[in-house]
Amino acid sequence: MSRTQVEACLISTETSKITLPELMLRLLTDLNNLGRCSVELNKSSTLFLKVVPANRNKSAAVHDFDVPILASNFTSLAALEDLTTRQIVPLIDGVKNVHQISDEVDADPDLVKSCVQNMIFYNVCKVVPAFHLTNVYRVMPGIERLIFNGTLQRECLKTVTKAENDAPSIRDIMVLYGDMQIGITVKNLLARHTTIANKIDEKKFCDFGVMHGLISRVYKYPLYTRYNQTTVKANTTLRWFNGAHHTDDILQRIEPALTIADLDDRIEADHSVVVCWK
Amino acid sequence: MSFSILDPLGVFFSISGAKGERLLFRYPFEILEGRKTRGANPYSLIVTEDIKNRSSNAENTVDSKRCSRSSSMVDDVGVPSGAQRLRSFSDKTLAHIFAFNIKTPLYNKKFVVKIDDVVFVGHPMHITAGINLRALREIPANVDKPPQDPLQRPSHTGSSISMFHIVFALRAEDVSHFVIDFYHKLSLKLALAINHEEQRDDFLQKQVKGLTSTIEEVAESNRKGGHSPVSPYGVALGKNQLAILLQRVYDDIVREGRTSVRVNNWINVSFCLLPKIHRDVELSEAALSEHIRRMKPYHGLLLLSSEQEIASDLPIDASSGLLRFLRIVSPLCNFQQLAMEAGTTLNQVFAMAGHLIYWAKARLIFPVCETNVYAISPNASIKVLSDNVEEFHQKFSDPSLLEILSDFSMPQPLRDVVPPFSDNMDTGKLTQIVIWCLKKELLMQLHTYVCLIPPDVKDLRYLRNDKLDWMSLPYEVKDKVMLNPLLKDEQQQADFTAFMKLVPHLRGKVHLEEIMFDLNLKRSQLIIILDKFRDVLVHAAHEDPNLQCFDKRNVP
Repeated sequence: MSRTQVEACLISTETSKITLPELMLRLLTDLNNLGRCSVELNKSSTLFLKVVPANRNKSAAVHDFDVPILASNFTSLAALEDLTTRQIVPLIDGVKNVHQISDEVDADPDLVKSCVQNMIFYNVCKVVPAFHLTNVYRVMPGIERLIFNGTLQRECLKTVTKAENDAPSIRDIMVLYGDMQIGITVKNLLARHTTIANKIDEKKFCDFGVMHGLISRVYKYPLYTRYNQTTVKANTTLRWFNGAHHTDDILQRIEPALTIADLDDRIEADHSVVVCWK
Repeated sequence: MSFSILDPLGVFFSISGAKGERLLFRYPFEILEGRKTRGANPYSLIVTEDIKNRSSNAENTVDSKRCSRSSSMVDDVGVPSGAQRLRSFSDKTLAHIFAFNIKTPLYNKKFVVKIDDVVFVGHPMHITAGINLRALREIPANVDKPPQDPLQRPSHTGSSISMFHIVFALRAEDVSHFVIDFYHKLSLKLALAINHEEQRDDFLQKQVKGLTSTIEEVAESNRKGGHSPVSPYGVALGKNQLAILLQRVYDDIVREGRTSVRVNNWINVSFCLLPKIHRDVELSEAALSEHIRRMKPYHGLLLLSSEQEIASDLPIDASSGLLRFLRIVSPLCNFQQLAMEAGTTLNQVFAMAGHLIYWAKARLIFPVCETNVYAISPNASIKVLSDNVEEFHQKFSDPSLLEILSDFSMPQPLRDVVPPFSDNMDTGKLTQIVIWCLKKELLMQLHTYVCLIPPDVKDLRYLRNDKLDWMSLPYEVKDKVMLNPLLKDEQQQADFTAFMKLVPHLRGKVHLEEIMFDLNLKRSQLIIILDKFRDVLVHAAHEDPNLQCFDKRNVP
């Protein structure tokens, strides 16, 4: 406003002064109804305003190993201004992690991260840990919401059902979520409840749980008990076994690339490596 | 996570009176030279921004929370935090903001002014003539006073202070409204104490006189030159009680997040910055009271430092009941046992425990026992090279912390964590280790929650009923429960009655331990019943949201 005033004497000229009340009215109605507003002050300058609730998703950090997944309310690409984001969005399929996406669009991982972060801020995207059958999850205190919240229940059933005519019951879902605990991989879980497992899509099941805070992924942290300064300098896998990195993270960092099974074997084989789950 | 964003940037003391408005003390202050060079920097962005916003904000000190940010895009460039901007304010500007703009209608009200990325919080305290007169009437009774004192009074009151103001400067970014409220409360507490001391002992008059003369003396000697200029505030710190007091408050809060000072060696002012001492940036007072309100008789208390340390931190007039309570409190006992042992009521025990939790001296836990299930807390630091590992090694020597953490990775009852015949570990040592880990917030306890959801029941709305009991269950559910094939004829009736009693608790909201407490059951009895009806129940094990973290969901 003040800049326009300096440039075009918006407030002090008689003709443009008349538009001010109208402008204010539009500001008030638009901001209240739509939460955003763009007003044309004059031919050359437009004021874009948006009301952003304070503290929304403030501390969302995105890592290389996170998998972005589009929220159900995501409608069209048109709303996105940013070019990199436009490139990224078609690649978000709930399988590829940030690192892989950045490889494909040939962009800097940090740039992709900030795009994803931006999308999380606007609630059109969420990140979940990469899905794998050896993943371990644990139940969160929010699980009771699935019982008390009818909408969430219906959405959950809709999301995880594999075939319409053989839908799981809410009890099946609760049993499956409830049995998730540290030490039990998704594979074990499905083997234990084969009848339920046939009815649901396990990937969607886990992703839904994580996205709604019903369950959370438990990562495996290998700890090298004889860790010291020489290990830090040595260029081996052991260098990462310091408690700050979990297996997903380590797999992204080491060269040559290993599979999860390979890494697990290495951890198994070395007796001075202990494993923590958290 | 850094909690330094909660720290104050500075503390200020200003007065307004017949002699005008003055800033008498600021801390931390700068050596004068430093400010000059900074001001001379022609590329400094702050200075230009500063003038514009200062003028717009100084005009409306009342309505403060608004920030004239939208117009200034330059603002976000290269200013790390409010500290730099705060330094750019001269004493005169600050005196203007804190005293000159505060007119009588604003006295004794909350003062919040935001100037770009600095928020000033304070409480201007009015000293009315009426109060001074009351003080005057009391004076003749005071034998220690020199006799001419009452005679001097009228002129003295005329030239005296009408308002004084203690202001804290905070970083505006990331500061939530309740943090501002905390600092306002601190300013108010200090102001009330000083006001009282002023009435009792002319504390403020004396201190202000001292500060004014110090500032004048220093200005005089700086004018004369000869040696490098000194800050008057530094000199004041050497001899002025009020300056020392404010410095101590500031330093204590930056260091520990709490302070306890005596104003004029008489009135005790204690304050703690909750989000800082509880290491939770978003913790408000309401959330903490809610947490304390949810204490149950079966909960226990874990002291976070030793009994002696806590006792020495207590003010000298602390209740002897609290000291006695500190002596007997143990992480193995629940509140009911503690109340019995202390010979007081449960409510009193709750009050004392709540007090200790508020000041971050203790934490609410479920008493440690061998059926508890622990897992590693998601926030635990498990770095291989950390102080925790060292400390653990010194304390318990044999197994390393990493091995213990690895043992606790798989959730299982405490009694199963360590093989029964291992030679270097016994239950006592294990309990000590668990208590230590709980103190360090490495472990969290998992509780089992049970929910009544029979197969093929689609509609779960009955579980929303807060007063759920057997009678109010839908027929569909009752039928499913009664069809239970595991019920044998002779036992059927007894088990069934027991289960009917359980129904109100089977909504997935309370854990087994609470059910045991409420219905006065033994764990084995409860497990047997639940096992018999397992076909209609669903289990889930997770941490107790009332214990592990301060639950913010239910607080507005």
